[in-house]
Amino acid sequence: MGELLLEVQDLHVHFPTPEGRVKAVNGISYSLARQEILALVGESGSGKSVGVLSLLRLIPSRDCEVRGKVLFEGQDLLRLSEAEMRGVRGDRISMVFQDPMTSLNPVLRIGDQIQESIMEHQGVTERVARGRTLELLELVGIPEPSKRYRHYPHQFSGGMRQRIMIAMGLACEPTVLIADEPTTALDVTIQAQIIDLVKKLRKEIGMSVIWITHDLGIVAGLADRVAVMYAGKIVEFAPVMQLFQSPRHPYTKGLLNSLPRLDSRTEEPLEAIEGLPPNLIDYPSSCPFMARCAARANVCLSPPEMRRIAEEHQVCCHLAEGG
Amino acid sequence: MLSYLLGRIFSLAMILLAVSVIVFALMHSVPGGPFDERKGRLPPAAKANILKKYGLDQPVWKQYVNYMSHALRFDFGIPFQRPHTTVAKLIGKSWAVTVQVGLCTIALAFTLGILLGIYAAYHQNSWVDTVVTFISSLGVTVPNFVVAMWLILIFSVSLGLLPMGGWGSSGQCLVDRYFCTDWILPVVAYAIAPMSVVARYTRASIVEVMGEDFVRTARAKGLSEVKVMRKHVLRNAQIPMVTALGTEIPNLITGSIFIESTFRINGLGKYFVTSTLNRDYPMIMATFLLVAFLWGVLYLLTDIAYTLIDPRVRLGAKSLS
Amino acid sequence: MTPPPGRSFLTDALKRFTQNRLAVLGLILVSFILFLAVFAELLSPFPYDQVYFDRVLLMPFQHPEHPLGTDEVGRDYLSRLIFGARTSMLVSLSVQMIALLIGLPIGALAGYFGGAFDFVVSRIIDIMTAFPALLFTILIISVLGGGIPTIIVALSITSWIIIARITRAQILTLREQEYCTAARGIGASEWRILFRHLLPNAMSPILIALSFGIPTVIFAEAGLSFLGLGVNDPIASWGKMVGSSNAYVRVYWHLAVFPTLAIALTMLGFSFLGDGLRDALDPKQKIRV
Repeated sequence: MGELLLEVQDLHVHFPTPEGRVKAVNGISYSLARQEILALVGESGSGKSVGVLSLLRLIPSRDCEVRGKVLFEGQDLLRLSEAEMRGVRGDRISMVFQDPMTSLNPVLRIGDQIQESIMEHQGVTERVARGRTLELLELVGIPEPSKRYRHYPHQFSGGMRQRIMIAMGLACEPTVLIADEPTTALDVTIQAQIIDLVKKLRKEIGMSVIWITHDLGIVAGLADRVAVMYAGKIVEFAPVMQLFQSPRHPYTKGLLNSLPRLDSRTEEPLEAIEGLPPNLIDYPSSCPFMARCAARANVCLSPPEMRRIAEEHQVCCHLAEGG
Repeated sequence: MLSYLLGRIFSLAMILLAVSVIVFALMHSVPGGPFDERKGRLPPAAKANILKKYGLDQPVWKQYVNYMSHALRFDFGIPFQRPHTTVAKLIGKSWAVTVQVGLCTIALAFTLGILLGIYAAYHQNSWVDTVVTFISSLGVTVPNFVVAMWLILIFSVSLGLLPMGGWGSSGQCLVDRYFCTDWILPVVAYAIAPMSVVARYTRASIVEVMGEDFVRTARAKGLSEVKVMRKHVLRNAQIPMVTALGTEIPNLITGSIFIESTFRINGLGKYFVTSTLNRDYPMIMATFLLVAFLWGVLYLLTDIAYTLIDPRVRLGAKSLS
Repeated sequence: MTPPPGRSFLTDALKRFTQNRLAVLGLILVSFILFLAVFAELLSPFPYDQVYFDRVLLMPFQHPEHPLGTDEVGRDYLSRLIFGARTSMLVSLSVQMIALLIGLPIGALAGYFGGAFDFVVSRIIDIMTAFPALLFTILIISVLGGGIPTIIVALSITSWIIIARITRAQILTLREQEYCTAARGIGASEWRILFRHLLPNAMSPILIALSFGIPTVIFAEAGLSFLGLGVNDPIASWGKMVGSSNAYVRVYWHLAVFPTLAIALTMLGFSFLGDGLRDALDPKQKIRV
């Protein structure tokens, strides 16, 4: 594992609402090394998107409470001033969003949308930024960049728009690229192209990636390490092969069992996890997965702590055994 | 684009034709003409003479054809109430006043409405937002002649600050006979309703755009709030704002009968009322045609404005609702 | 899509309505005005047309029998205000009723059956929306003469257009829905589909349009009477009271203050009520009137 780049410590994100406090993220900790691809996996509502949006402080502070530490290159991002934070966003840490249909401004030419980031952070002239933008479009595989540069988002297909979003994310050669379900809205074949593109670019630019997804299938061929999230907590954190070969948390096991496998006999039904995730306003004092867990025992009534069961394998379950 | 424009112009012409037929038919549908009240005083020969002068002795369809053939050459006849001028001249003169009122009102309503709307949207749920929302819901509901009376009661009657009426005739003026103190009350009274509409539209559309994903993208690029607002939010919020412009401007430019009547301004609206009271057919006809023409043209311009702001809109390809 | 009216939808709507403070305020204001309008004879101290030549232009509280003073010919102002509510309500409610009776069937038939009838209706709508409705109303009144019946006719001619337009648009979208195809599939007649399936579903927006139409008509009646084109003397109308106060307003401010307040409060009441109805019946705010 390379040099430590980003470290999230005990991050909490709560939203006060008229119905009560929504406890979206409840004490997650993880680290990201240089050039690593880390996958955050979880179903919708597990707090994975909110967790990364709050790293960049993209949730307006009047709407939510964020606690914890986000150490990036020795600074705690949660303590920076708004102006300092703007210097980080889009420059050293950038983000690619889920839906390329709505995440691009429909009334601005895509070239303008990419180069505004370059001009903002590098203080270069429009001409320089434009040259750089054309290179970026070339890099992410947009044909005829000098023509397409002038087009509007609605003139591109979904996959092309996501490439544009990635070009926008790469504009200032960030150290960390956060991709929030970047392929969910796309066809499977396009999905594979985007994944290959990101893997290729990681090597070329030398950046780290946090990839958020609900799809474990994508993770296998992409990530170095995986953090599985459930109800605002990381329940299991392991290198990708280890997670797939010996999952320890019942939730991870359930997720893996619900994946269709090519080598399984067709008669075997896919397993679904019974029940629903807990209510994030009335957060349970027990293990949050207890209600849905087949292996639950009395000890699960107290909340489990994250435990290290192998050198790089952590799990948040009373019943998980080491080795 | 060109065929779309030609289609729109054709349908505008059809509507003008239909309006002229309907108005003409309505005006001639009841017995009695504009000169009936003088029946007692006019000897029959003199009356026949007058009717002949205005072409009123001919069958209605012939009068219509006659009228339209002249109207196409911009000859709208002679107003019954002012035999020494022409309809075109009288309308030109009164409409010039109405346009002055309208333009001042547009300037006031739109600058204030947009600024208030932006401020309220950006400070959502603050006390300013509450006040703006409250005033604008009053402004769109309370009729402008009621607002006008209140302004007169406060600023003319109680405080004695501003004249009660007139347009460049009873107050001190900044430049020659322009921007006079007697312009203030009518313009303010007239502007409150459209200002409220504009403020509401602006606030609503900015609030909506601020929740869009691409605004979050812009913030994720590290742009400052000012740049996010100017380049991403306002550009997109313009689209619904044009809707407000498009529906308010035709109204404002054709004037308010109530404002002109309250403040005794000799504009188009006031002449329209006296024309209907006097059954002044040529004036009524010409006013209807002018207003319908202006509305048609301004709505068309609004639709064209959409294409300039929103690259997704192609005229004729998709209908705008 | 508006959910089909049913028990739960209506209960939900009622709950949303009663929780909306402005809507409830609007309902109270409107009920009060309607109460005044219905019981005007009982509530007003004097007949609206009773003239006292020795009590001309009294200020409020100047004479114990005339708490709001008297007008320029010596009529009790409070009584005229109360009877003004009757004129306003009579005109606005009848106009909306007529607009519904004409606009609903025409819009529904045009939207459902299409064809030549729809073409004609659509062109009429196009023409009638090509210039301000007020100009047309004034023209009709100038032809027919003033008075309450004329005003009702003149305003109905322009008001049914809005109802017809909304009904037509609703039916056009609703008839493409699956349940309509399904009903046709099981052999329901066209009329049955229109009356049993489509119209009930189209009612919410029509109801909202009607409730917003009322303040529009109140404004129109008050405005026409303000210009001297509306009701004839001695019938009381708020608009006419404002209009004739113009000449006396320098001294006799009460002549302008009370009727303008009455107009403003009534219109606010109806528009709060309309907003509340829209929020209750159309929580997603799909309908624009």
